[in-house]
Amino acid sequence: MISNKQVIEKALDIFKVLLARQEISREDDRNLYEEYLYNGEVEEMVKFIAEKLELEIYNYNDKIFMTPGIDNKLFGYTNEELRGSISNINSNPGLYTAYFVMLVLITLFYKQSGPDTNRRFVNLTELADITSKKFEALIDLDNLESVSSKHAFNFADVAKVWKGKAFAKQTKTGEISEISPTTKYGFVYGVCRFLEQEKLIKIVKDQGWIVPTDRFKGIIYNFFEDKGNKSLLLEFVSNLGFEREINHATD
Amino acid sequence: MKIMINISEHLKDLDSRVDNIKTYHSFFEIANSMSKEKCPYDPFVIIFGLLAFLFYEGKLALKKLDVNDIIKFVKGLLAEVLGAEPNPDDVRELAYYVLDKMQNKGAGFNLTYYSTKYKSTREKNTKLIDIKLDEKADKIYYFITNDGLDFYLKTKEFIEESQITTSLLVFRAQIRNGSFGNALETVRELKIKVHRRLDYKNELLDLLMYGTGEESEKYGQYHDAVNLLFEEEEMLFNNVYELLTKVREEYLVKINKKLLTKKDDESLRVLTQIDQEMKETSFLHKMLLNDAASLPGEKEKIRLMRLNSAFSVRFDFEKELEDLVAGNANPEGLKYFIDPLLLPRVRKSYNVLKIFTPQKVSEASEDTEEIVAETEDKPIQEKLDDLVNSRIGINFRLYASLLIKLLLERKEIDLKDWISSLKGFYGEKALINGDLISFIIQLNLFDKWDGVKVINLEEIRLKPYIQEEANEAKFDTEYLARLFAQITPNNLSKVYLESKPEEDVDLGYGIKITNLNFRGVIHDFE
Repeated sequence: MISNKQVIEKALDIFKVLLARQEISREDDRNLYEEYLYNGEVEEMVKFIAEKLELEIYNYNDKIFMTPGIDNKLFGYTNEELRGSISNINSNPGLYTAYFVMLVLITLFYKQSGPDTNRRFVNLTELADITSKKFEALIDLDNLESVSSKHAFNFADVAKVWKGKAFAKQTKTGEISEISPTTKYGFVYGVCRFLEQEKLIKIVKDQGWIVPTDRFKGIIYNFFEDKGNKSLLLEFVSNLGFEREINHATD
Repeated sequence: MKIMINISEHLKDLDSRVDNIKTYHSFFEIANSMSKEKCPYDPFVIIFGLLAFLFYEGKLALKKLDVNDIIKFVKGLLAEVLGAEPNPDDVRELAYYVLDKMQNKGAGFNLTYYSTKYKSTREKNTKLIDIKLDEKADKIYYFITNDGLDFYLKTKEFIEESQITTSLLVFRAQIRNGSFGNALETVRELKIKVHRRLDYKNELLDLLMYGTGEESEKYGQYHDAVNLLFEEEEMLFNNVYELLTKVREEYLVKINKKLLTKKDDESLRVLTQIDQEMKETSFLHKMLLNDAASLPGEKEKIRLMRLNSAFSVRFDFEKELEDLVAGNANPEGLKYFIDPLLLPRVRKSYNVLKIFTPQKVSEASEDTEEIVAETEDKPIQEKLDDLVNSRIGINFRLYASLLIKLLLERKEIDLKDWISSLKGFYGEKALINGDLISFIIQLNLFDKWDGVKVINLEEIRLKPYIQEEANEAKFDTEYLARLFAQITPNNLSKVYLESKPEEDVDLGYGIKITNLNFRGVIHDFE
């Protein structure tokens, strides 16, 4: 017989809403929100279920969010799934370029992780420009061939994808359009559309702004400021390098 | 050379001096950054105008203002104050430009200085206006910040916040002397001051959360000095309110006795306004008292949060990205930075067993039972409504296709061009078709701002279309907009629809309709 059936029921109700609607807010789901916030047993149970499924739950600005964390085999995206979800990306170097753009966007909002962003919005054209500048600053774009010949996949391949795209501009009135993915601006726009679907940003089309959502801010503040998560993330990155060394040795 | 005065003593207040000038610095940064080419109007008028609008129409009126409200305001400001009437596109472009400049691309304005108190370089970030994303309404709202409000009030010789009591005393004297006009002004200023005090609490909470040293001192000042004033103010509010009620009653008695002169009538009108303002101000002041009572609790919560955050570590995104690239690591590693931000992906797959349901090979499952029963009992019949809807749908598509075809060819057309083309294609009789009239009526029903409606085809294309389960098909403006979006090529992003009420189009057979102008926007990007 289940002894704490009521607690499990409430925890699963919360979980179900988080999976279906991706957030619970004080404004829209007062009962569930308060159950999670003020009923220690329910909170513990929700976190227990989440932990077993390698998910993490965060509370930010009167809302509760769920994140799949790093490399979640059950709820995380595979590269293939991501390629299918971001407009006009059909190769891994293209996908890595999209990641690069996403990370540049984060650096524009945050110097370091914190409770709130440094800026309220970032312009789409600015994101395209800063991505170009980052590539120029970090990678020798003139000697891509010599760098990329050392490994199967490296940042030179990513830079090549970016360099291969033409510049684009906004219309006279600052309007944005779904322009060709062969342009830098079009590529950035496609990436941002994906981030908007993931409820991380809102694109204000008329003004060309990218505005972060509470989900974005909540995860940056809670997930990335956690010492354990930071070590785990860097460990994953370093293991990738290690795997690559082994692969090269056996090639 | 030896300094004769005790300069350290004189510079000990440098932090508060910089605090006092930071909003002025932002103001001049904004004014100086505006180019004559993009904003050919006086920047002072524009900046103060927008601050006044956000303050009076937004904050004081408790109204959420979006970009369209601001565009309308800018249009009104240019016309009323500067006598300029640019076209709607230019007004919109100017509003976007000003909003961008006033927020310094969303980053606010940094004032860097050396603090003699903290012996280090410090930075003060100021925003005069700010935005809030309402995720539920999917809208961005603009508001005046506390700094912006401070700046707006300070630049008009406004009295210090501690002088609510003084204002109340002045107000009481004005009511007693019967100078109701001045009393109305005083009570309005009083309301602004109470608003300002309410905002200060949030400012203090922000400071407690993110402050770098100065927060304890400011909290102490607020708690010791300002809090003590509340009780005194509360008593005065009650006192003044009683007086006001008494004076009004005197006038109301005069009404009953029909002794009211013309002057009394005017006084009573102003007194009623004062009474309304006073009620609102008094309500706000009560909120202030409640807020002040909850402040120590909130302060403690923040203290605990900050204590916990001492054990967390800041994640330096910029450095990690640079390290990754500099180390020429596998770029796949970037995925791990993004993974936590993405939504949990709930995989769905098709239940193969469902293929048996329609054929009734096995018993219908619970969720399909109802549908199966329906199709089994009722033979499929085409209703008259379906036939009519299908006819209207086909005709609307024909009309819309011809309109778009002409628009793509000429970029700008009017109703006359379209009608004559329709006549050329389908003959004279096409003009007396009832569907044509209802199509034109729907075109006229598009909600127009200043006579112009923008159908944003690009936006419609991006929005997922959810077909409502309505019994009746709707051939409304929404349907038309979606139809346009479906049949136009992607490079046609917008259609501007403008009424020409002064011109009529004759359809023949005595039918006349108002002319409309259509203008297509085709992208000019490279």
